[in-house]
Amino acid sequence: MDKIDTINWLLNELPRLQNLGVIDADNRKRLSDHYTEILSNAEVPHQRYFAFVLGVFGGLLVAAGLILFFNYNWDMLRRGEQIAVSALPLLTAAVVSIITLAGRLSRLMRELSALLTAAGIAILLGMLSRIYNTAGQLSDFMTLLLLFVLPFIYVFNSVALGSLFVGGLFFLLDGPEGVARYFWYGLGVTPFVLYHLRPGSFCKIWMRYLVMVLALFFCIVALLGYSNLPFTVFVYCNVFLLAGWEYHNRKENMLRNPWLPGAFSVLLILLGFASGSESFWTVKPALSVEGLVYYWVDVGLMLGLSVVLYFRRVWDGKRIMFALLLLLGVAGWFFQPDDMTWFSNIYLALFGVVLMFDGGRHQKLLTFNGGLLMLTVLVGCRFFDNDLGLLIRAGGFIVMGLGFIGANWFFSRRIRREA
Amino acid sequence: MKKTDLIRLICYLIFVGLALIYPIRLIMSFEYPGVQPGVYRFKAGAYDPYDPLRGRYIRLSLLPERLSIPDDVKISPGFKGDMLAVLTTGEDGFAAITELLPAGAVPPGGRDVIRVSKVYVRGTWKQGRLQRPYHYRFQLPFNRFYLNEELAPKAENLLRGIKFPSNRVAALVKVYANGNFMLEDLLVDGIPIRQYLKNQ
Repeated sequence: MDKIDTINWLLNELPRLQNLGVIDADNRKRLSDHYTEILSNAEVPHQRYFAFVLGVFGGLLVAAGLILFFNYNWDMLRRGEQIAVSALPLLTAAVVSIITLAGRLSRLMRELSALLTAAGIAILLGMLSRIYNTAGQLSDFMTLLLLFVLPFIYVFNSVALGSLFVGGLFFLLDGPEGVARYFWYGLGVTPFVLYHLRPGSFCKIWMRYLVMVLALFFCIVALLGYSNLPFTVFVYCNVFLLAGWEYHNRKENMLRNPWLPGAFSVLLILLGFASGSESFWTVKPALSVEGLVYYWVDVGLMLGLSVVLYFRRVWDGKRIMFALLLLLGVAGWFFQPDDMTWFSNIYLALFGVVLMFDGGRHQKLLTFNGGLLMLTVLVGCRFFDNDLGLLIRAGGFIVMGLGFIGANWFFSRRIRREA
Repeated sequence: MKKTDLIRLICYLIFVGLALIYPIRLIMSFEYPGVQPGVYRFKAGAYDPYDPLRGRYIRLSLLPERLSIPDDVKISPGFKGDMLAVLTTGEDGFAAITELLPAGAVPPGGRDVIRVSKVYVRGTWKQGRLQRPYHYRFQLPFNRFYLNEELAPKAENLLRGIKFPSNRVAALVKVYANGNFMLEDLLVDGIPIRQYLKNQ
């Protein structure tokens, strides 16, 4: 799109450049002919996308119509015929997939083959349940479907199927008894997602978003095993903050680096609750030994990742605050909930101040604003906090306000000195 | 063909084969069971919801859905999850449940069992708490009967005219030795419902 806009701009500029004497008529003609030819061969923006969407949408409509047609005539078929019809989508998918793999067809065909195979298996399982009226829960169906579909993600290296698989994991969840099953299913797709996070991957940006969804799943699984909300989510936030900061230091912008804003936003909301709600810090005992074991395996892996991200890095104010976040989570085991709300307030205030100073010192607007946001959340939550007396709130706000004014004076002096 | 593509193709064929094992075993267990299934009739009522994906079907209300607990059995009220229901045929020819066993229990020899869900132990509220006599409340696992979209509303109209529970309407269920079950048909006055509606 940019290239076409640039060429159009240049072609519009040529008459003016000739009038100004920058180029002569011959140059103008040569430039005009050259770029007009490029323009005529260039694709219309999003042309491939439109064609793809029309094709996919048309295919889906045809498939939906066929499903409805068979649905209507289902009773007229004998059971054997019903079973054969149920297997047809999988058979079609197998033919398409074999042609794709044998013929080394494009990535698009591989993605399509993977999706068709998964759809074929889903239809076969669903229709058999209908034929034999066996009923069953959605979680049982998804347990089977995801198990059969998982290998095809790797066979086709299919990002679409991998993404659907991660979304489908949430439909497995039907209670704390299945923690082991959820964990292993999530682990099944994890190598694929991690592999595509590498710098050379064609879909590394999408995978950065998908890994957040997968992390959410693992976080829920951990909490089903042992309901320790603060420590669990702080560990997860810690990893994404550290990793997101690494990308930020490599100048990756926000759309390419969802981890930093995502983890920061989640942390901010949670700290807002933690600073005022004792129930946030109430930890229920684990329902089973198995749940506890899988909790520690899950959270332990994330802690290990944290250690790797801290290893051989410069320890600045931000990293210290990220590490203190873990300590805050650990402290939840040793202190009462009302004490923890105070610690959360102190942590939120300290973190906000550290970020603001760090941002001011290094002239980083994002860091400064992040700190300001933290302090704003703290002030906002405490302003409406009925547990604090009016006098205490008044004193606290005055002190904070004087602190802000003092910081303003400090930065103003610094700017004048540097000017 | 490149080596990697050949490996992918072989892996694909292997995994499709493995994925087909489950449906084939399922079909074989229903069509060619080692032990012939027990056939039970459950008293049924029905209504016709609509599901755009599943199409027309009859949602069944089924009996039995509760079982008394003797006073000498030590149990506390509350949610018990899934349990195994031991089946028998009552004097009226309809299915009856003689006892509920924990989900992992071994069923008594020669008896058919099905897994029932959402089992609660309920009692009577007296003086602000649940007291004996206790009883189990549960859901039978088969509650959908698929019909052609033209027949389902007619079936619902027919069944609405028959007060539930009634001896006239029965869900015919085959229960297999491995715990699988199949809702074979819905009978009205002993006649399969599709035939009954055609005769009308």
